[in-house]
Amino acid sequence: MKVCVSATAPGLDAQVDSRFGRCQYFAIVDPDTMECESIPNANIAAMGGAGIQSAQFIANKGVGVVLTGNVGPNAHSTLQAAGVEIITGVSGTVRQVIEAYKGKKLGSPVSGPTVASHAGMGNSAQPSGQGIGTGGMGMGGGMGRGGGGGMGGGMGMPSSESYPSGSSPQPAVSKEQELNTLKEQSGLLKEQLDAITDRIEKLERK
Amino acid sequence: MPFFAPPLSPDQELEFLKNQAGMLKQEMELIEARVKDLENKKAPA
Repeated sequence: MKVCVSATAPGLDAQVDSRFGRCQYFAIVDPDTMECESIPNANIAAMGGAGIQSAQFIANKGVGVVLTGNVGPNAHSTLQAAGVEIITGVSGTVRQVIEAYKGKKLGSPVSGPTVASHAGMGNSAQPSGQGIGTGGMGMGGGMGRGGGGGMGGGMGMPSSESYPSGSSPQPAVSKEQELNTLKEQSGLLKEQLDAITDRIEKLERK
Repeated sequence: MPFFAPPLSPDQELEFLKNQAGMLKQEMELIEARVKDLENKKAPA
């Protein structure tokens, strides 16, 4: 059975991407052989439906388990419908989380989403328990390079679906891990903000 | 499930981008506040 890990880069030594639908790469790993296929996520800059499309893509790859940081309601329900188990709250490298999975050191599969819809798009949705952090970016990077095309409405639509607050079964993250994640995310957000600011300046000059 | 977005006019795009920039700034402020909070906790009491 293949295992999918959301990753920030290709390969087994890439860090886990805390987002699922808008992660940068899907690392599809055979835990027995540790053979890893890294696939860039085509939905990273999608205006909507990223969670569903990513989930369908992964389900079609014959994956049985997804290991990620957080999962939204759309991706969760799509994966669940496809019979794919989801374990959230993982961090470290792809190799480390696969080893932890093989050693049964990870938590149980989640029964519900751990973040709200569009949490990876830059709204203020926060995963419960761990404060800020694991959502919050993703769409800005592709924006500003689009030259005005391809960006649709639908920004910031909150989901009416509920998700468990304060009860998500994420394992504790150490302060150092959280700090590293936050700093990394802050850097990514700054890059996205710079790209958006550039595009705004170009548009305003026109 | 394909997602089709209507094309935006430059004004719409500008407004959209400004909203996005505002959200990103808010997100960064929250992250920075949390980083400070964590770093303060790390200091020896």
